Amino acid sequence: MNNCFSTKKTPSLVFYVLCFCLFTFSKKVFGQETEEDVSQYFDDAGIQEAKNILKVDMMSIINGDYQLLWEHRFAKKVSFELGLGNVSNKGFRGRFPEFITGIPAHDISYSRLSYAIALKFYPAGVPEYLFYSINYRKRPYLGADVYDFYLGSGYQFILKTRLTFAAGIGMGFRNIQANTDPAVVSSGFSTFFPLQLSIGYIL
Amino acid sequence: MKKITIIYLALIPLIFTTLKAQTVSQNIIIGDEIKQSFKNGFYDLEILTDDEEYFYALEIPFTAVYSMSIGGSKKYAIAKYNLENLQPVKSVPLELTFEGKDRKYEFIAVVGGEIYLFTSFQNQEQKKTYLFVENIDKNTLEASKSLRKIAELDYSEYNRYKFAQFEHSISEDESKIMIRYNLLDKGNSIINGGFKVFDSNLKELLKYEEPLPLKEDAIFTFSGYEVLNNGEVIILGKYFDDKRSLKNSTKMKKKYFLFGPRVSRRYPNYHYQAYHINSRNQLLGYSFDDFEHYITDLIIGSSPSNEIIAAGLYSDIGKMNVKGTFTCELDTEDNKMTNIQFNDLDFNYLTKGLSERESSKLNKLYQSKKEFSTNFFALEDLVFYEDGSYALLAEPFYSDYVVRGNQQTGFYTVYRYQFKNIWVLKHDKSGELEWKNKVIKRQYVEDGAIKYASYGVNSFDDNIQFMYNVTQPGIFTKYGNPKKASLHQTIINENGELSTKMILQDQRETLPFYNSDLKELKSGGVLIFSNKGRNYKFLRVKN
Repeated sequence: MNNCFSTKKTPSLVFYVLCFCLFTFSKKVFGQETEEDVSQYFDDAGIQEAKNILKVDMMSIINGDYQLLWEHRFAKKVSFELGLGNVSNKGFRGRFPEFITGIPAHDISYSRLSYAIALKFYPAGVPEYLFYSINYRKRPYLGADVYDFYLGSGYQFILKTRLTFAAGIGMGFRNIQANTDPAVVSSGFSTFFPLQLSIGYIL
Repeated sequence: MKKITIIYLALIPLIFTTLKAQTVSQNIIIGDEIKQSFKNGFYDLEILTDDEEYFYALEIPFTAVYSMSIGGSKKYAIAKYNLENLQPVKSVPLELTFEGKDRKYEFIAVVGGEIYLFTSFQNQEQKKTYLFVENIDKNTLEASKSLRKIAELDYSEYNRYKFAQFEHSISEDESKIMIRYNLLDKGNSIINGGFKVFDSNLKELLKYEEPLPLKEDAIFTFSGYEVLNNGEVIILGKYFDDKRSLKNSTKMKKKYFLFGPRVSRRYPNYHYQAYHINSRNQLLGYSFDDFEHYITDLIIGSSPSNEIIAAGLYSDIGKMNVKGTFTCELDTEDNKMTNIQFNDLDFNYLTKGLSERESSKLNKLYQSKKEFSTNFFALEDLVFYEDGSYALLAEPFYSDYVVRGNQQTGFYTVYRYQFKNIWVLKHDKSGELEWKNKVIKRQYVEDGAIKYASYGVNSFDDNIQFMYNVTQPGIFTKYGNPKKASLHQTIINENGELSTKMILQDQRETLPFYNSDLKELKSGGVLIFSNKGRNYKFLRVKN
């Protein structure tokens, strides 16, 4: 007798491959909501582990201070921000005197380092949403060094592809110290209300 | 001789074991003080559950209670204790990372005897916050890491949201868990969210994500929500007419003309509203504002046979003086209230347990039909008896604040509370008042010491057992300093007969027990916890 039921067949290669696939991927197929499944919910493009953001403040550029800001998270809700920049007499005209002791200001070769430092607190966690900050910065403009100390508050959003956008407002004191002799601007304290509009990239 | 030596040697561990737990009376065991190590110290402890040999507790780090902003190195931990000598066996910190990502601890719940850990992850790219659950092994005390996502909140449309909030409620028989997930704005108003109910295997039974049909011209505040044994959900809240009414409800007024304390006052400017979500996902509403009396306080519970009972206290319309008890049954088939009962409480009962001076003052105000009570009332869960009758437990309390300090030290505000007698009001199945009694106590506590106040309660064999501290009259107890406070136990039997005994006389000499943290054990009896600085201990009362 030679019928199909009694014949002892050797399993084909396809059978072995199917078995291999079944065992290998069975966890994924049958295991409901296993570790592999939940991984997708943790895929946040590395934002949670990211501790650094490089930023450019548009309001600073408008004010003739070409600054690059580095924000670093050191606790879940707290970060510091350091900014280094350059103030030159080629920048925004409104921030510079027209003449320095009789010489047109734009004829003078002038370039100085500016810096900014801030401590920021995000109630919902760095780097998103509402933040409060304590800021200090120095801008050595041609004619006067400007020292700002202010408290700020604003919102920072994560846009797609790790881009951030922040908008904020502050209130504080400004100390202007003339740095030319004779002085071309008057020194003194004043209150001021700075604005912040920055875009950044999460590193 | 050898035999005797062996017996002695065998007895030594037993002697040490018994030394570790002191038996105060036949059914009360006080464990020896346990010293926390500096490295593994915790701030608070929550007793979770027990089995035949051990009980399990959650160790809460200091940073979880205070200063959530900066964070800290101490983690939440699960600890296991021996149920006989009340000493620690093992403590394992909870690992809250997954694939290198930090998860946020939300809560731990015991459902169907299993310990479940709930954590969340805010995905800032997907703009969603996910809630995960995993099982904790009672032997190793480690979380399984086999996560399951059970809820999510999408905040992509709400850039001004404050945070995602996850809360839970366990049914009386511990067979169901309800998860409430909400997105709150800066004013703590819910902008998105819902409810889900799961069975003991965490299989989803109910999901409700529609906004509650709230009145547009009024403000709704949640008073409580719970899942019933059958998996249905009850939400209780208060409607205030406007923001001003809500503000008035928390406003404190000066008691004396110039330098007196500011006291909380109650105004009849709200009414209760209940919502019921049944297994068919239908939402039914019950409004408690159309009666001849004013409902001042309300609570909802379900009987073992799943009848939903609303019970509370009432006053005359426009007044807050409690006149009696209100009870009714919610008919969830026909969406109506049945068995509505108002039971008067006589003035003698209202003044029972008060000092002579307090009674005569109240009497004068009562006779002149003026507001005589500045008390708030804390209503505990309804205690159901086997025949379907139930007891309403109400605890009046009074709060005020004083400003202390001077120009050198600076000024600071101290809130003070007086918790008074416990009203035990037994109603039959139809809502008629069967008997009433009072557990006489008085507790004076300040802000940080509030855990010494109020009471812990459990029921067994139709007896209700209360555990509470009694503090020195008139002197407000501060945290860690319960001057001459004593720990008491009161049992009220099914006929309303009351028996009280003092368990510990002077808690200055011991550690003050937090009776509000009382945990009913599956193996019978209750367990309470106390701590002072880095020392803590447990007290077990067997039934």
